[in-house]
Amino acid sequence: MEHSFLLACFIFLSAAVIVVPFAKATGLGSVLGYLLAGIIIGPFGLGLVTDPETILHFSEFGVVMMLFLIGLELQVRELWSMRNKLFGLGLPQVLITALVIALIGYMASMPWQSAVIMGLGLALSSTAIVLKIIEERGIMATNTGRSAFSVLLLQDIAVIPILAIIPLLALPELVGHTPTDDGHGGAATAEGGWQVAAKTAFVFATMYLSGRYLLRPVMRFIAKSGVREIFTALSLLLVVAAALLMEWINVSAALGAFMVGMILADSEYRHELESDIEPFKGLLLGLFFISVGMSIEFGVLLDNPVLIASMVIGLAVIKMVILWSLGTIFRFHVADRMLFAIILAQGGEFGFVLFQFATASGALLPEHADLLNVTVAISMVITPILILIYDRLLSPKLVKDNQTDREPDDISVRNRVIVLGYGRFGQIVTRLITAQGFDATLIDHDAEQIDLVKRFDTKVFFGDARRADLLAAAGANQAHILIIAIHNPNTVTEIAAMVKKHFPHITILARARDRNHAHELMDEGVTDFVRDTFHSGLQLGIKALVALGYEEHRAHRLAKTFARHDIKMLHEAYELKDDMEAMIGHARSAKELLAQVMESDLVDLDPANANNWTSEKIPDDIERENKARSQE
Amino acid sequence: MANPVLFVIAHPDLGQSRANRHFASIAKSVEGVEVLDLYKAYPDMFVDGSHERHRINDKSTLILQFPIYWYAAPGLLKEWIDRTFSYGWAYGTNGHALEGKNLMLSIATGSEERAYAKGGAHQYPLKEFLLPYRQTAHFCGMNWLDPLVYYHARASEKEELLAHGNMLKSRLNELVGTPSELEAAHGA
Repeated sequence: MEHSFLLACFIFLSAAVIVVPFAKATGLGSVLGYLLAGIIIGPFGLGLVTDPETILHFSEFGVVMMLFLIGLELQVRELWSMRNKLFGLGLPQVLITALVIALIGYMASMPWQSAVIMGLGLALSSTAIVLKIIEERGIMATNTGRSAFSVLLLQDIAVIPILAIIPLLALPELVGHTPTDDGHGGAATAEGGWQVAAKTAFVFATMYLSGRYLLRPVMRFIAKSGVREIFTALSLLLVVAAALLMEWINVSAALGAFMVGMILADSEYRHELESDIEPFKGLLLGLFFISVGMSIEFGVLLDNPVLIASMVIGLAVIKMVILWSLGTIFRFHVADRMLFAIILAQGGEFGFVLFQFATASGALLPEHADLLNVTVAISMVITPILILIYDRLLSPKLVKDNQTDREPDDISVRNRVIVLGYGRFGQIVTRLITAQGFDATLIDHDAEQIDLVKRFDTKVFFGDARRADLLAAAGANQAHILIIAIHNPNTVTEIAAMVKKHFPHITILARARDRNHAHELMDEGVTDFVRDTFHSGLQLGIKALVALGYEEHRAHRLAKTFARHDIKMLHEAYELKDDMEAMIGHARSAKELLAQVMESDLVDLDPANANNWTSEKIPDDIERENKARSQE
Repeated sequence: MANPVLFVIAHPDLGQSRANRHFASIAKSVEGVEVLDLYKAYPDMFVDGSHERHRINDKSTLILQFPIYWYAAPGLLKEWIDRTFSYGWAYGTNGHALEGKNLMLSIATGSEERAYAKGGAHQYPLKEFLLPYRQTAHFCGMNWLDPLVYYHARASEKEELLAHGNMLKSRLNELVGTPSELEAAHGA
């Protein structure tokens, strides 16, 4: 690069900062914004950056991180439950699309080997673009989101066998001058089959075992140290290590990261890992989109405008028809089917990799690869545009007609209850709720406490609950209630304020320390709170009254009367909280009032008044009774 | 007077009772009716008597809606009466607060009407089981209005339920419109 590193950073960041918010505000979506920013600063725009390939290569790591995060969200049994979609939707999508496109290529007098590679390469969609759109629309938990994800996942898996067969498809006339030292796949074929198998088995076994048994103690050790950025460093290290291992055995780094993520999906550090990686992923992915925008070869496009236009349109139409048909077989609702077909109807970043590798292996002519790369890049750009058209023109009609039979969101994906602080207080609350069959996501920041309750088969996630990104990772956007059972009152108030701001839909239930803290929580708009020692104090008070000779029921009733009075006074005092004098006065009169209230409750059923029922003392009642009888 | 009618609903499991839930929603829809869901207001069976007396003071009619459990109302309604109808308010010296107010029961039963007869499962007409409520009304100087009974609540057809609901609604409308005897006498 002829620019200094800082200057390059400056160009990328300013392009993103200027173009993306604008694109988002005008409803174009952030993906399109990044792509546009790339086109503007690229060699065919202002020409500020001339080396898009290097950056593309670097920023592909954003895709790796994204797959790691998805793996974290997905436990093995969830993956198992997706098997029907993986093999029913994903596999036919890849095979049929590849076959159709290969046939067209063959009929257009391409060598059959190149036609097959073109079919396979174009059958893949863009994980980066599609998942970003899914995330932005918040439809990951819906049928469309899950189905699209299944297709993408199968495509990512399919990359491995595709890379393996490309060297076998080398064109006879090109084999002669194939660069032998190029590409990792070439190296793989040079090794013996059993060696590859042994290496692969070794890597997966290492990954699984270290994920299960080695990483947890390490993460616990680091979490205990309390140095937050080291945990972030560890998170990044994990992803990088997974990618390196995968590269060593010629498996897509993204798929490897996905698997490591999945191994860690049931770890207590999952939400902390998620919120640590998230910002890096976001930026790198943005950079990735920018570099896709930059790498569009407008020269190739200008030389063959008609050919490329028809290739882009043809690709989109073929993909949409096949996806639509699959959606019909799987009985998607018509609006879902349409979105499903549009969202996946583009070429993907793995296409670039495949075409590059195929050219290097002598299976594809460089001029064909150029055409295909431009086609893929443009098809990636038009996806957000098609989505925009869908949103503005198609979806309002479709959704209005059939709103009632849309599939409900898959709420099992996320728990409805989040509990912050799993100490003595949080445990009692949680046990009551979970005994009713609710799942609760538990978060605590004390690694030792997490270890302790793990022995009782309780899963608590490690994390700092004051962070909005951590709560988002824990599912705060989908959760119904949030229980703040943390000991420190300042932390409770801080979290309550943060949650009210970032997740206004959640009902907050908070642990209050005392009267003043309760007032602080009321300041934040929290109405459901309990002072943490109030009820246990009352319970002991009841026992004290019983020990003093009161009947059990009377003692309970007095405690209840006291509690109601006290809570009422708490709310009254809140109105006066800015006036110290008035508050002291209120406290004094509240004390007197308490005596009255308790006495009046005694009167209602007091045995001392039992003689009220004897007829001699209440002649007017007898009279009335007689009157009543005579009416019958 | 904001709401002339207090509609007390006493059902420990309102979510499970189609009939009681329907009647409660009818009561809520009539202007001038205050609805008190007893098991919701006092989930721990603690009834605040003085609060309830305040609630009743400005009403002209009390309606008690409940299912028949073991030939009486669910326990909390009895507790509510015990705690609320206190000496010196409902009866005894200076106990005139309920005089002239109307009392009406609105009841849903599990059994059919013919079970409440000699030779039926319950031997006696429902009316006889309601005697304690009737006498309570008389003792406190209230006007006893004919109870509204919905028999065989679980097994009934939807049309029957709607018809009974309409009957309840027109009763409520009448009661909201008619001031109690006492007020009429005072020209209020």
